[in-house]
Amino acid sequence: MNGAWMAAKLLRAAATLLLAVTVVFIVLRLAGDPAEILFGDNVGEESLIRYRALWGLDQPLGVQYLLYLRSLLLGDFGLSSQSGASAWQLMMGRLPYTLQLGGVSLLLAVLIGIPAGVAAALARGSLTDRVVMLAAVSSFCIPNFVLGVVLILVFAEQFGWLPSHGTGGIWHLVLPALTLGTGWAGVLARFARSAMLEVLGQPYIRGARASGLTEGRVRWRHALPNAAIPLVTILGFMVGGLVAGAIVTESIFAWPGVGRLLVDSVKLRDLAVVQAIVLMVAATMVAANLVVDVLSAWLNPRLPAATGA
Amino acid sequence: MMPTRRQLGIVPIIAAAALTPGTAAAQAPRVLNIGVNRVSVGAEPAFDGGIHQAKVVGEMFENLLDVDYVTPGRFKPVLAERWSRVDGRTVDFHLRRGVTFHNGDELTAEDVAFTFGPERLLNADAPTRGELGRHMGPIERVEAVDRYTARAVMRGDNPVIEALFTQRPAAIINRRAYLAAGSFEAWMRASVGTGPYRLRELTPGRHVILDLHGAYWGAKPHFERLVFQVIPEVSTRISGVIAGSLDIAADIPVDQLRRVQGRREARAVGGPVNNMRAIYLSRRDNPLMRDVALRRALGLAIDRQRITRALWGGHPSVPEGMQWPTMGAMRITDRDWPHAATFDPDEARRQLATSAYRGEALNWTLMNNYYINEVATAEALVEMWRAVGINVRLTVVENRAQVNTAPLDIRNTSMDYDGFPDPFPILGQFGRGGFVSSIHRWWQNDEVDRLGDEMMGSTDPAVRKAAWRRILRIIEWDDPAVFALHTTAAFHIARSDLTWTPANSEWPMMQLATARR
Repeated sequence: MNGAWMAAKLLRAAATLLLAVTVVFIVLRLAGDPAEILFGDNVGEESLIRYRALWGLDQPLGVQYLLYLRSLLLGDFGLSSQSGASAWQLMMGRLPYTLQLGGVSLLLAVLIGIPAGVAAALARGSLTDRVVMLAAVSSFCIPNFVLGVVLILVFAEQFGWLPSHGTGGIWHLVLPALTLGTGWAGVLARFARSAMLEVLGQPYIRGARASGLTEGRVRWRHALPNAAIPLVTILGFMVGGLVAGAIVTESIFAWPGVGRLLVDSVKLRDLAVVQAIVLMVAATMVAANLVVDVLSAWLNPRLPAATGA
Repeated sequence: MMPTRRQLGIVPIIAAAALTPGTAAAQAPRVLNIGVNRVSVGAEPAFDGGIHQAKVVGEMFENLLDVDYVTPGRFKPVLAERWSRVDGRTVDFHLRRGVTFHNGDELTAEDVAFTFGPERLLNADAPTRGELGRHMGPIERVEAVDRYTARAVMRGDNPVIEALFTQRPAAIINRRAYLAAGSFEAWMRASVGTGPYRLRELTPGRHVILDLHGAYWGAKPHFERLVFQVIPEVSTRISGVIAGSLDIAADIPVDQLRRVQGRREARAVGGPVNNMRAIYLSRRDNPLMRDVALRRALGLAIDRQRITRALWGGHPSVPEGMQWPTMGAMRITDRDWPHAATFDPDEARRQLATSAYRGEALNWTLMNNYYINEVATAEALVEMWRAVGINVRLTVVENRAQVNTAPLDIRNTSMDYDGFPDPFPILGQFGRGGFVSSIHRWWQNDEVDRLGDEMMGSTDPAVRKAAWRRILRIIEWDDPAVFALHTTAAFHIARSDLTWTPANSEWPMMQLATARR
């Protein structure tokens, strides 16, 4: 892995972040005056003018944008126009909840999805394969807002086994994590199966078998690491989209994560908070992609990143 | 050694335990858990006009007097044990003795004067002026006469001074706590009133926790703590009540009430409230809408009974035009014109035939169910208009700013009249300086401006009623500005073992201090 490759990646990451911030900045300001959204209908123009001046919304868009970029470079994400609190602190107050939900969901997805996909590949064409694939397709076809409500109806309302909403203990995590993790597990199972099948058909696998290695050693030492390359890419996307992907689930289960903060802030045009969250989501995506590139290079030394080509 | 499957299975649980943010401390006994769709960023009665805010501040703050919901058309004493008119523009409020704020201070006339003072409310730069302070416009000043007497002076003679003091921004706050907070933002998170519950914790987007005010002057509430939990999803709120983790699920659409029909754990509560859905007719953007006959036809074409049956289970009623039952002596019962909720499609067609309208599209921009059943109602109205030959183009947008900047011929509204024994809230819409006539300039009528001044400047019942009669005729028929749809209903789902009846007002809606288990 060479320095030029890494420098190019970092430069591209910075450009991506700038683009994301710029697009969000412009779109939010074109989609409605925050002053009119914040106040009720019964507000006179004088109050709206005062509010716009207070938050700098009366300045030309270009000036607002440059001021915003300068603040960002100084590490200042601005204040929430709703509460006056720091946008950064508001976001960081919610982040542990999103990481908790996303982390556990991802872990469930990995622990269920990858073994299921590998098992299906190894038993290709069998009943096991069909059952696993049917379950996988079903799981990512069911939208989270349907699965979440069904799980609540069954496990909270009907049986009373699990809490329907909120935080407070490990049991509160079960239903939202299942809702979020089930779809991901289905995706991973599908990818794991196809990746494994592709690798098992490669000449070097036949070579390994011909050299007298046990079938277990062929599968786990030679096939699986090679099949892991596309899975790492998919996992990178999942980690990157962890915040955005949890919005629906967080709303259904009243989980106080970043996704819900984002929805509320967009509704109220709390510009500083929306921009801080979008920047964080974009940064997570970019970072996840970087990690995937590095991991892929480590897993497959022939890739350009590893060779410096 | 490779981990076993059982060992792997507990990994998520261990991870979750490690990542679990701090759990709440053990709750006090007798906690009432309420699921709401939203809470505000602060608990200040004159900030945020939403119904979600009313639920919280309605338990924390009290007014000098309130609308008497038991005896419609009257006021009842709250923090003022009595009040007396000094002249046409002045009222003395005699405070109840021994009332204490949540911080232990005794309620005095200084607190009342400060509540309406320039630092907080009645000043163009006051932090609450923008949204709700404007409702207090007729008040010139409030001053302390002695420790227990506060004097309110209006800008001119005013027949409805008492009604002003029942409104939400007129709830009394503690002067010392406000000044000690240092900033308005800090005050909103540490606000202090005299109500049965005091603020314990406010986390925007998550919850508000109120604790019992131990020295409350009124009847002691049963519950020692109220927890308002934000649960945006209606279905989850209902499940919370059925499963027992919530006592009340607030703001439930009518079509969801059937989920608790026949269940022993939960029941539906609520019913009609003092609020009316109506449609504004704007003549600001479209020359066609200046045609009186077209505007009349728009109102006459609507079958309101069908809407209340189909979308509201028949709970709301169709009002008698732009009036409400508690208007008392001011109510006009002998109209010689069709009132603003008349359904007469034949007359609508006749009116249309006399107009210059030839099927051009009229614009109606609205938000996606900002009000309950908003889009479904709009779609029904569009079809009813089509049936008489009126073409209305419906556009759904995301926020209020987009509604207000779009070309506008028709606009829906929700009008809160809160049981007032007087039609003066109508002037806040259509009179001089009103929301419709001055702020948005959708419709304005010089005669209504003049008659409104006359009505609000006189204490002679005959003069006032004559002015109101003419205003009503103008806004309903001579120069239609609005037509009524139906009254509104608000429903909640509560645990069956909870004894609780919410008020039919918009504020305070919940009356949780009266709830018992």
